[in-house]
Amino acid sequence: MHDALTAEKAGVVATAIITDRFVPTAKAMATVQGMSDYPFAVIRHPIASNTEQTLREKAEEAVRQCVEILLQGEPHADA
Amino acid sequence: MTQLRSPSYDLADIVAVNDLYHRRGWTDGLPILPPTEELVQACLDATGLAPSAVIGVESVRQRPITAEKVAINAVMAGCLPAYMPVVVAVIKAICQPEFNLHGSTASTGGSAQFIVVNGPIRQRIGLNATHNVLANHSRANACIGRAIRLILINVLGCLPGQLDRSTLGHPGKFSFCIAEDEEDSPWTPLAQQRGISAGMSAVTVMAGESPHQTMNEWTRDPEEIVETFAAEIRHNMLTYSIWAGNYALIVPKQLRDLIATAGWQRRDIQEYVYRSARVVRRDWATVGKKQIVNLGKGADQRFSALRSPDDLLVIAAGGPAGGFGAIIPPWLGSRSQAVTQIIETL
Amino acid sequence: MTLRVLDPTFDGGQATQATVSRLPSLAGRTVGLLDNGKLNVDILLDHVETLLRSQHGVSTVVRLHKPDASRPVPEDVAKGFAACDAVISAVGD
Repeated sequence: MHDALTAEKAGVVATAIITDRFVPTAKAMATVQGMSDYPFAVIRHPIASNTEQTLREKAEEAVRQCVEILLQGEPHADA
Repeated sequence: MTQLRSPSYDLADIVAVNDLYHRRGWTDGLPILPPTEELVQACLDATGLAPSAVIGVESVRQRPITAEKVAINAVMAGCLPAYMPVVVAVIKAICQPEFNLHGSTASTGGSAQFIVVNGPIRQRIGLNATHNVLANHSRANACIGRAIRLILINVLGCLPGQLDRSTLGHPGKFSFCIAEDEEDSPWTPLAQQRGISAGMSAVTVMAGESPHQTMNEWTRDPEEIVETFAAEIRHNMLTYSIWAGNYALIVPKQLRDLIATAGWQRRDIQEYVYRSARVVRRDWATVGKKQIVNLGKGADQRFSALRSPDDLLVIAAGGPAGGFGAIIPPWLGSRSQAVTQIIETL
Repeated sequence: MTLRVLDPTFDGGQATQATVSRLPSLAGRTVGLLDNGKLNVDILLDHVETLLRSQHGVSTVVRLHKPDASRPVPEDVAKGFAACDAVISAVGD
């Protein structure tokens, strides 16, 4: 999350992919950085113990949300 | 007193203060002492700093930690003004880049700031180094450690579920501060070994997991005594985290006497543990982690608990009777490193 | 007698910063994918890369790697952001 904010501060449009269990933390980090409504993509936790098929599905979901954010800047509905 | 800039609240009594502060998430769940202007000013005066003086900055969140906020949280924790030089030194230590304050406080791994105090300030403020050293006894130990936790909560936003993502945490997150028993130790004090001049007071702080207690009362052989600690470290490498970093060893008087009688210095303990606290990747299969045995460099990959003997913090502390010791493992190897900081007194 | 007590929290909040303007389209653009080094994140991002190219016309994908998930991206890696039209950071906080 912090790294996406670093990119934004360097003038590059950015977003982050977060797992659902880290949403409050991502929001808190955005808030302390003065960007409390910063939009990010949310996929289901976890990543480390997924099968290849599950990772592919999560990637599809992540791309759908990331593209929406990078092109329009709309916060994800669950965020 | 007019210099204090924090917003203030006029409340009926101590119960009302606790209700408001608990409700707003400004405590660790225990009752606090109301941070009145008088008490805060007394703590601030003990630091010799202006209220706006920046003691440290957490670089990831870009949050400065000012003397005023440190004093307010220290009062809430129950600190006396005389404790303030220690609290200030701990804040300076944990804001050093090698401590990785953001990572070690935000991580699901859930560490606490384990604080060891050396030097003459210990007796002046009544820090405990003996009976029940890792737990309740002295106001100074309890309140200094607690002040650090309240500062992390209130100044850096380390609220559980927000910027503190600990899955479990451990009881040391309430307070985790000890003194070294220098007067009854055969070894040079920890701070001196880490480069501080004799006669100076200093804190050494590491991002520590919960202590693991050990016991060996069945030998006089220093190698066997120290091997019990090394075995617990190997166990932690397999069941918790493989990565090398600062481990703390709490060695009680009964074991120190035996080790010293056999002629071992602190350095001998460090070198023995450096050689002995090693595992091979395949050992993971014995603790339910066979899935990762063949990752990395394969089953024969060797791991050491310490990058060098200096990584081991050997601490003389604990009550006079009993062969009980403890290891305190690092949060995540060397991702956070122990920092020793001089305590400046007025 | 009332007690006048002080607020213990950080109160020097930063001014809210605006985000950078969004892009009209990703077609022909360069996208940076930042990997925090945790297990499987590289595989997740392999799929993300494939989808960005095949479905959204992204022409170049720059893969950036973070050496330590527990710290902010180091300066030498962050320099890579400048060559990108957009950056996606994954996964975690």
